[in-house]
Amino acid sequence: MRNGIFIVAVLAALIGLAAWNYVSLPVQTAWTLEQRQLLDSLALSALPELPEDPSNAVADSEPAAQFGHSLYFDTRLSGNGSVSCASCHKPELMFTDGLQLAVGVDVGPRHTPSLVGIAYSPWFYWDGRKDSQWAQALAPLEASHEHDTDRLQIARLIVTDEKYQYLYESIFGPLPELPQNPESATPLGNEQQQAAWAGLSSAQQQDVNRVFSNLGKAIAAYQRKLIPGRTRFDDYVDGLLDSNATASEHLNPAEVAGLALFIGDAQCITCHNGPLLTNNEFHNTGVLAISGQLPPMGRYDGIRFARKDPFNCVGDFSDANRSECIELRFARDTNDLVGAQKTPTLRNIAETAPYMHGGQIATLYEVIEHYNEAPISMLSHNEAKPLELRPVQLQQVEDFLRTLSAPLAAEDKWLTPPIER
Amino acid sequence: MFNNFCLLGKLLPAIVFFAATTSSAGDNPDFELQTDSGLSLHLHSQLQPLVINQIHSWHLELNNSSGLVEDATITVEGGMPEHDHGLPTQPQVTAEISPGVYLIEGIRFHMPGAWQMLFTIQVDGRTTEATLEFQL
Repeated sequence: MRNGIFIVAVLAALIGLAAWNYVSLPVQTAWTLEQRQLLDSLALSALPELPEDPSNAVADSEPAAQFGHSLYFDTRLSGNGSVSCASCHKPELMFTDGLQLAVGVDVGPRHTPSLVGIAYSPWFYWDGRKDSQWAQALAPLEASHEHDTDRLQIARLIVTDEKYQYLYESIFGPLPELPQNPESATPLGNEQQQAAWAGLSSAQQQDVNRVFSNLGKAIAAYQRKLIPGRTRFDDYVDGLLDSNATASEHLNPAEVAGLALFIGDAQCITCHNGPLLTNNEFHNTGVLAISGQLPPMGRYDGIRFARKDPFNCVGDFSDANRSECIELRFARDTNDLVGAQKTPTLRNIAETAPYMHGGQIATLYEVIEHYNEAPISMLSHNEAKPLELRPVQLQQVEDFLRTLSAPLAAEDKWLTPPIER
Repeated sequence: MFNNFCLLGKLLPAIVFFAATTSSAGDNPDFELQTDSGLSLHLHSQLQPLVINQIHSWHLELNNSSGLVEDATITVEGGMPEHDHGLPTQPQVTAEISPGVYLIEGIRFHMPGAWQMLFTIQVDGRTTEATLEFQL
């Protein structure tokens, strides 16, 4: 008899636990006014015009975008002749690579972020070490694990390739005369490259830097075309019109429940806000260090790199007046940015696994679990607090995130290598 | 630094708080604050309505009982106590655009929720502070 009661009690506890984990509560039937305002703030229809980049005079030039398109897919912009920007930022994977850590000429230290909608961001790289899209585009070209080439070699390619020479000069004016020797030089490379750079006159260095920075500006003009497309979620929000009813043909009840969590108890919207579902800012969320690496300093170092970068908004190669470099001039650099990494967009997030700055987390569900637990950060403090959501709710958040995928709004011609003319 | 700012707010009862605790500051981003030393601050955002994720400027008009106060030294800090972090930017007073009216550049809010801004004002060697609380 006593055994019987015990078995019933255990069974009841197990059923209760299973229900707690996996049974969803009824979905709310109507959005509140406050929720509705949040929904409207996330829809693609709320996306403003692409902000100007005063540091890049050709940011919105069509010829520059076409030139940048060619450069983006050109593997000659690499030391081994096999790596282009598209090797890691693959159009077919929403401009990511599906790998944990990027692989160019060698394996890099970070996960490849998407380029979709990134032209709206004031900062680039996971740690925000670059303050413009064109300055960002330059760094991988010279990184030994990425393109592994250098600015003088690239300038030589432009001067010797008839098509590139024509495109360059039609956009930026006459190319400078490059020194006969050396073949290869940069202030950032190996000892030989650095010595070669030091051997150039300052006028020659300035000429090479000018060509190099202009190529970055053309690549950025191309990348500004990579705007996200309209998703089921956007159709859902715009389809609400004057109604506050949550039911709709565009999202199923689990997805609606996930959306309610996204803007509510799951607190995703605190950082993943606005129509691109990112605040383009930096947060420490207690993600484990990348295997074999020390925990990175994140934005704390990133802003210091950005300030020292000769290609930043206030540098010689920027087209902006100093007064226009507002983000750089007023950027914060305090200790609370230790370990902070940039918030990525959640548009097309289902297609850009794995996740986080080191690709440490393989699946969307595991990412949501990570935020549910909010573990202690290895460095500084985790800004997020434990959510105490149930597994069924985590699944609902994932279901909602999967509604954020759609083909890009960019014209198809930008998503494949340019047709040679 | 923001931790210190929060602590300061708790430890200095002399600070006069004027909490503009509207449910949403977005549509009417003007604020009035007063300090215990008789200074009043009128804050006007150049971004209307006040929304997240856009860097912008505010004007700060500083008055005492006899009128506009010129040549004040003003510093600005801000953050979200709930999330234990500061503003994403470091705003600065970059100009006194007319007597007693100061330009604060570099303000950006990057999250919806409860924000605090601390204004430290030095006039004729005397320092006073005011804290603004509002919801975005």
